[in-house]
Amino acid sequence: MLTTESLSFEYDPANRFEFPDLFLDYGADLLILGESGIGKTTLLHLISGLLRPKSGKVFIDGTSLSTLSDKQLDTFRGANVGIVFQRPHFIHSLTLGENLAMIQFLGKKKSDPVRIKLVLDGLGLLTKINVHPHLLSQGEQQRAAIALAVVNQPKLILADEPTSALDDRNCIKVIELLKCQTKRNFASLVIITHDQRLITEFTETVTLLPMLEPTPNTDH
Amino acid sequence: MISLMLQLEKQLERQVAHNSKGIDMVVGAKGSPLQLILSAIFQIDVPTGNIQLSEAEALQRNRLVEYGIPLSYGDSYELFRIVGTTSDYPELYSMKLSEGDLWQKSLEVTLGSQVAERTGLKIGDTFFGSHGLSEGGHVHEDRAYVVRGIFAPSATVVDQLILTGLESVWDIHEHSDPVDSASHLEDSETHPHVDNRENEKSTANEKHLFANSEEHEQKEDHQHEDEEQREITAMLIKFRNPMGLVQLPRMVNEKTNMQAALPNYELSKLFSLMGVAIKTLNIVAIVVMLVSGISVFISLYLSLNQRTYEMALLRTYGASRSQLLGMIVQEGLLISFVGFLCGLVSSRIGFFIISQLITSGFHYDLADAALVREEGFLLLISLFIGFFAALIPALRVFRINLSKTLADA
Repeated sequence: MLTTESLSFEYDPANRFEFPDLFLDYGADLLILGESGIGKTTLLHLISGLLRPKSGKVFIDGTSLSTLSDKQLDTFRGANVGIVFQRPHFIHSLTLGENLAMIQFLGKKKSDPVRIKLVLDGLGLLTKINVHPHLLSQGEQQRAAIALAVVNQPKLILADEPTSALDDRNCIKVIELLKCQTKRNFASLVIITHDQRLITEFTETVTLLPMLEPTPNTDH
Repeated sequence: MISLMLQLEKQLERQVAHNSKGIDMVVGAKGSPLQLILSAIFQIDVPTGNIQLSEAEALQRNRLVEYGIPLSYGDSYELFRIVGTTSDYPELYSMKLSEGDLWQKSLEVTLGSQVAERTGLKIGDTFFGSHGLSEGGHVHEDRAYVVRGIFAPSATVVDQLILTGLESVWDIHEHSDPVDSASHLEDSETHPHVDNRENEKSTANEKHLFANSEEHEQKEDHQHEDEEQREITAMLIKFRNPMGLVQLPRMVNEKTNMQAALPNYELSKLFSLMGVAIKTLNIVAIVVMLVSGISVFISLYLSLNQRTYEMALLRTYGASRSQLLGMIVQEGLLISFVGFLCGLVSSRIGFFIISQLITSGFHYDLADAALVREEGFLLLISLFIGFFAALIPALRVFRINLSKTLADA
């Protein structure tokens, strides 16, 4: 459901990135590996429509992002793409429940408190529904970040370095969580990271190499 | 501040209009016409002197005069003026009684509502008036006034006055000192009667030292003389028709010992003088508004710097640029609107405080707190300023580079 073709981006003539073509089926997962500075975040932003590429195309669920106007792009993203950021960020003045309600509103989905409770329950956060996110513990915040990404049942879930700051045990837990949520919501998961520990968890991986030479390799 | 100014102006104009309704001309002793108007109509400032009752009555009979209301004042009780007049005076202001009646006999008074409130006098109470209009005047202790009635509040000058008949004022002054009542305003220490008061009630041959060397012989004689010499302080005149305006003032000024002053004319002059002060204050107020507009702008701008990440986050979740723009503008407008409301409330409170401080001041009616039309413009201007103050931060939000912002987190 996700396809990229000849993506490239240029911050300035000294910072150019070219990316390998990606292909992801519905319900499949993808791990994109790369060292720091290789353009992982840039790729993620290109895929999610937060950045427009210098050249190339991105197709999500059959729609080419380049055909969408800015406003349509915003709406499309709100409805179809969920992003789990590296460090959890929330709307400071709203409670957890209100944050999720806000996301529903922005994604042009109907207000659905039942769904909100369902999502939080699945992550063990139902009791925190009226708490302000910045008051949660770090682990709770991380799970809350996942909740924000999945509440609108997007078809694509992107996670940026979700495990980099975690120890081995918690790393496994978070990945399990992500995969489980993705399955539950019938979505595809793309994780972008430099964390080698994740290699064993995914069947499909793409490694980004410096000097723009991608090597797609498949395990077993 | 502007709202306060507008309110003050409105109140002032109302008070003036209200109090001078039905009075076309005031005659009194020669002197400053403005002083005459202020003292006779508004009971502010001291009178210019006295006039002969006979001359005033002659004027009253003039065919161009519809009515004339005599006023005799100069005494006070606890800073409230005692005004001797006829029943036409309360009628002029459509006064209603809340308790008791109008005065009937000499030395009976009817109190204005504010007087009753502040002094606590009730029907049947007696009190002594004192000379002059400020504290410390010579007290007329031999003759007491008695309260016959109390007026209902009227938002006119009468609320601050103690009304009585003309006879009361003459009676009081007859007995202690048939001196020209204008000299009552002198310091009581120099008044010869202070020493002689105790002897007043004794023999008729008592000699007092009078400024005009009248002798206080038998009461009847004295009274008879006084009738011819009786004086009042001023008379309020209404013209029968516009010809009065053309002929009467000149006639009075040139052919009699009295002067005629026209309230409308004098007050317009006064207002135009005040206009300068009000304009100045308005300019200050506008500057304040601009400064506060700038501060709204700065606070929005700064708060947005901190909230940029959140803004980008909202975009990520699907908010469009224009949605964010709308949000910021709404913030600006909301701040302005709330500010406007706070300003309105403060100005009402400020006004209330000011009117309390002015003792002979405005009887402020809370129903008057209604909006002046100009305050509607004030609202629009406030919203405008809020809108523009919000515009620049809003545009910045509009142009957020999502990728950079999110990556920099």
